[in-house]
Amino acid sequence: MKVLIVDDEKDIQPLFQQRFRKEIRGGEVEFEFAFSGEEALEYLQENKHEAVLILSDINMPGMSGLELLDQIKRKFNQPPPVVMMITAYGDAENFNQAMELGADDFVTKPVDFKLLKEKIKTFS
Amino acid sequence: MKSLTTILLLLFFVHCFGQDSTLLLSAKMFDENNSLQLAEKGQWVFKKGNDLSWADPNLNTADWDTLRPVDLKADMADENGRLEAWFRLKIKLDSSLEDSLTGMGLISEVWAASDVYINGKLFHSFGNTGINNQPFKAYNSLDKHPIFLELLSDKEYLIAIHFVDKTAPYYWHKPLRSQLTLASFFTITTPYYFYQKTDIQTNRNRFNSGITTLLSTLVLLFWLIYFQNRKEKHLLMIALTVSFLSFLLVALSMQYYISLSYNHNVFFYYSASLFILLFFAITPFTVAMILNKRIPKVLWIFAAILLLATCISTYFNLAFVQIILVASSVVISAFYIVSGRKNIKGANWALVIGLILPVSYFLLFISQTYFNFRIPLVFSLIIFYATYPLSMMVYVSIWFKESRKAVETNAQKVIKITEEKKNLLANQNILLEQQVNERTAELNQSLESLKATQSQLIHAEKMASLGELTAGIAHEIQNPLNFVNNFSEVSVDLIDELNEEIDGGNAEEVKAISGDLKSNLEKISHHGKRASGIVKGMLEHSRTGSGEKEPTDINTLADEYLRLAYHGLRAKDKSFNAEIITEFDKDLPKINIVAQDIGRVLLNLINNAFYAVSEKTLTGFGTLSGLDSQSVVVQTRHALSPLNPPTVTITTKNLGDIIEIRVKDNGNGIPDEIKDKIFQPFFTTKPTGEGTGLGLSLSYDIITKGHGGTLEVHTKEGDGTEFIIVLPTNPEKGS
Repeated sequence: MKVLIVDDEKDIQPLFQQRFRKEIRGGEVEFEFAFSGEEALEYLQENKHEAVLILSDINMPGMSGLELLDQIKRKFNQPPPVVMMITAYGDAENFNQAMELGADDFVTKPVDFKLLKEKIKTFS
Repeated sequence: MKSLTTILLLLFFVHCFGQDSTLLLSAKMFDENNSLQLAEKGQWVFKKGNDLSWADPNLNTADWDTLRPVDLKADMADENGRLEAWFRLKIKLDSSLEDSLTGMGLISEVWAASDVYINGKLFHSFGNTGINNQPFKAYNSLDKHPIFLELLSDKEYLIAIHFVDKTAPYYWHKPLRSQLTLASFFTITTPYYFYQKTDIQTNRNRFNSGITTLLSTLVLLFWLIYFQNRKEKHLLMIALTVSFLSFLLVALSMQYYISLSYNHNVFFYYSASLFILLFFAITPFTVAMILNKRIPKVLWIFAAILLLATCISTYFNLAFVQIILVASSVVISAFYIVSGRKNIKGANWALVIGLILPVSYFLLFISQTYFNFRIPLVFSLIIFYATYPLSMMVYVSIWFKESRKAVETNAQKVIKITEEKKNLLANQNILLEQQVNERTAELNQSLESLKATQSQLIHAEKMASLGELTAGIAHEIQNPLNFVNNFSEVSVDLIDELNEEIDGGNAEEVKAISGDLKSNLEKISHHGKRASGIVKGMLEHSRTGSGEKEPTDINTLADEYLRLAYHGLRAKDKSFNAEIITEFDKDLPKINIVAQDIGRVLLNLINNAFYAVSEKTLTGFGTLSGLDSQSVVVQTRHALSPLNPPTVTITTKNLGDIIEIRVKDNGNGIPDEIKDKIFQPFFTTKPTGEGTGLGLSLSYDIITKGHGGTLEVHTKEGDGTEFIIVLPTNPEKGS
């Protein structure tokens, strides 16, 4: 299963790779990284239908995670990818907005990786 | 005695029926003035025409008329108004006049001409009758002495008088010139008359000249007083009345003592009438003015009637009209005296007395003719002519005293009021000064509290900017801390794996894991340092005033605060987004600044820029259509983005001696009307509670006073705003 991680913090890549070390090695999951909303859209444009699950940060310079979510839900709906939003601000407003825009799940930072693993497993 | 009576009776009858009957004169017939006016006595015979032979004592006068001179009438004159006639009278003096025989005299007091013949012989010509071909000339009897008459007692004399007179042209009814004084036409006097008349004349002349002098002086005085006090109209009335009175006296004196001819006499008579009537005409005025303080209109009408009636009555010789006029004047004056009696006090008493006395005297004088008594002439002169002017003098002097007193009283009042006002003013000044002091104290107090408030507000602004920072800092700190936590947790897992691999003897895998571990620890360290750096910056920001100037890289500072501002705003408004363009000059030298102060300025300007662009995207709301109503806000913002994305641009530039930092947004711009106010303390466009209004003013102070630079704003409504910070590269020069 291919998962696209969108975050402006570049250290998110080694973190995920180490957190999901066993899963990656076992071929259960494959990660792609984009460091901005624009980059993520670019990737999705080039690799249609590859990413089944998209994990996106909300607070990013330039295109925000919510904007990205909106774009994805409009342009890439065949088949619609699963989009999970991750944010440091786990407030109701952000949550509601994400849900209105069609987010499939909502994760607050700091990320509980055990929980995330379970969620990814249920989506796969 | 009996025979004598019989003879007398007989004589009487003979006298009655005969011609030229003799008039027997005795001492008893002479009046108290020692004169006997023959014109109204005796058996006069009269014939019109002229014949010198009519003087003959033996002339038969059977065809003559019996007519006394006093009974002469103007209609006896011819068509030219000339009357020429002869009178004849026989007289005889009885023994009672024996003592007087040596000094008897004859006087004629008529404005006519007459030749007197005694026993056929011309005795004296009074004036000129026209004999000896001389022109007619009326006799002027004024101030003439009697013509000495030598008569013997018990001797009969025939007196024949050739009489010529003319009618007076001035009057409407054209009387004879002699008409008024015909009674004095032919008067015989005793010697005592002469002495008496001389005495009377002397006294009269003395009093006359005395009173005339007095009156003239008073007239002058009153006019002088009036001209010095022209506002006082009662002084004019006094001057007028006294003048009329004195003119009356002068006119009468002229008429009776100085008339050169009948014409003069008539003129003075007119004048006298006029003056006395004028006096009575304006007397009610005077009374009303002084006692009632005003002149009713009816008085003007009365005065007009009086003047008209004066002229008419004088011309037509209507004595009763004049009497009515004088009487009405007296009545009206009396009315005003009575109605104004409340005002009769002080000076006004002089007026009342000055009027009542002469008027009473005048009435008394008129009535003496009817009630047969005589008032001495001296009283007339003094009482009638002098009382009023003298009273008026008293009036004027008292009036002046009263006026002066009134003025003094007023002056005292004015002085008193002035003093009171002065005191009042002084008190008010003191009060005012007190109030000013109190107010000043209050103002000082408010100024102090204002200063305190201001410093509190400045503190609040600092705290507010700290708050803005904190939100950004929280986010900034959250991420590195997450990494620290995650990498440590992952590392724990890796160590377990590492042990497993060591047990498995998989050296290659052990190496790889240990490499990862190393890199993780480096990342933990890196993110830890990152977090502590943020905390350090926060602490620096909250520290105020103690900032030391240090060489600082403006680019790094700008980047740091841009991020802080951005995340601070994002922390508040999750949906906020803006394009951030940084155009940093790589050749920018480090300059000496207080980093946290300049940082605060940048934070402030960047925050404002973000606020401006977010405002604009909000005002753009609703201009688009066909959007999903559920996502309107976000849709609007996103829809705007590709066309005119909200953009904040930070530019730095090295310009040699100075460096320039520009913070530019494409928001709504600043309206012209508030552009001048934005650097003023406490000015804010943000909703209440959101901004302290101190941001830009503090920024301005930091740049200009703290660093010797300039802070300018370029803005265009609708297009955006650009703040330009200029800092000297060598701040020692600039500040």
